[in-house]
Amino acid sequence: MNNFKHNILNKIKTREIDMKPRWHFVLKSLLLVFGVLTVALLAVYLLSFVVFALNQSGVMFAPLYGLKGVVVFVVSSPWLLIVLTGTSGVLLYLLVTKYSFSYQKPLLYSMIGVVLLVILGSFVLQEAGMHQRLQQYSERHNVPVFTPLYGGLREERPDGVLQGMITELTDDGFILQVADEDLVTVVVTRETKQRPPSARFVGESVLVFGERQGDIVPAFGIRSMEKGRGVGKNNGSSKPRRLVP
Amino acid sequence: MDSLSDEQIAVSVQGGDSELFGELIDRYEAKLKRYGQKFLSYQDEIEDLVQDVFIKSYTNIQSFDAKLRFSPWIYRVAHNTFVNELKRKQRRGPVVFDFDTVLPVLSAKETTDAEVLSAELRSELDELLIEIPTKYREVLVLHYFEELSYKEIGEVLQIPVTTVGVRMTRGRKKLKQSYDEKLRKQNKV
Repeated sequence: MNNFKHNILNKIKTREIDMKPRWHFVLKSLLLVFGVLTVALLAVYLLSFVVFALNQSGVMFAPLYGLKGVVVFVVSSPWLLIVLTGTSGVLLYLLVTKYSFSYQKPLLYSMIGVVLLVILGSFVLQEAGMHQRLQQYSERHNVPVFTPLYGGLREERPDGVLQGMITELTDDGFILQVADEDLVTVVVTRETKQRPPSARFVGESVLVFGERQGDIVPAFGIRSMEKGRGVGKNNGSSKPRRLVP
Repeated sequence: MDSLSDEQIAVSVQGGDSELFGELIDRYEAKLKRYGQKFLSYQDEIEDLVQDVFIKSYTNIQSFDAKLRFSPWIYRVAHNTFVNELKRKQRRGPVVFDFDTVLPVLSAKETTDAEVLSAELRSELDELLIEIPTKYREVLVLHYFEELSYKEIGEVLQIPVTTVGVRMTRGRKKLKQSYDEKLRKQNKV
């Protein structure tokens, strides 16, 4: 027996080296599966939450109103959550590449697969209305993490976006009632983009994009929040009026 | 003993017959030393490193799936050991993205002239290999010296088979360039 072989076998005999038991590897595989599932769920949840937060604050629609809207979007987006979503996506990708089905194919396929999985999962959560239900539940009960998370969405209003109901039409715009009975005067000009470009009416819920200056908001964008073909439905309290001076 | 396949021996070792591990050492010692020498392109510490490979193989042998071939598995252990050694020596961080493995590629089929090329190149490969980058060198070594298929090399390196094909083609080109360079120098002399 050569020295090389003798040394190794001797270490085995004297139990200087020992075989790891099978359960060690089974446990490792299970932990990997658990890790992949946990990180996948986290990534899906975070992405859907980011979309929900952007949707609820109205920031998501800001880029539709030109460069000023893009600036509002960039400034008011929940970047910490977006970074966390991205990080969990990268982590998920790294975990997936541990599996042979992943590394046997070009890595681009795994990347695309992970991105599609997260987007699809997030879409399903959105469609299922999970965040609305979680928000309602966490408002009624004090749930750690969820109550401050969803409560924060209601309390924190992003700069450059106002959400409220039209209480009165004026010569150059309308009066908007925002949270806490606060009234602001919205000024509409020819440059103001209105989506859909229908007539405004009292009682209509709208999103107004523009920098608030005291009680006045020169709007660069207005979006109707009324449901149904994206066109505001009049409740009959006033005559709809086009707000183009 | 010779009639037993590597996989059968590995299963016996998994079952507690540690003595049989010696047979695996007999079968792979020379191969792994040669692989290590070509991979690392230096001779120092190869003996210690290969011993380390066998120790890791024994320690982790329960993770070997007997439905698969044993040789790609032990070469994978060796590859990881040698890569760690390279990193330690060169103090280089891990490469996260290698574009060869990211994008799908077309030129990946295992060529039918592999055997012919193998015979032609084998003698020249030895001294020229040191001059080409590690990622090309290792696929050439695994294919021409260790006689692993593209699929098995893919398993060892955990890269797509198509990438093995691409590296093989580029590696051969680089070898040829080195060979032409060598000839030019010899002619000048």
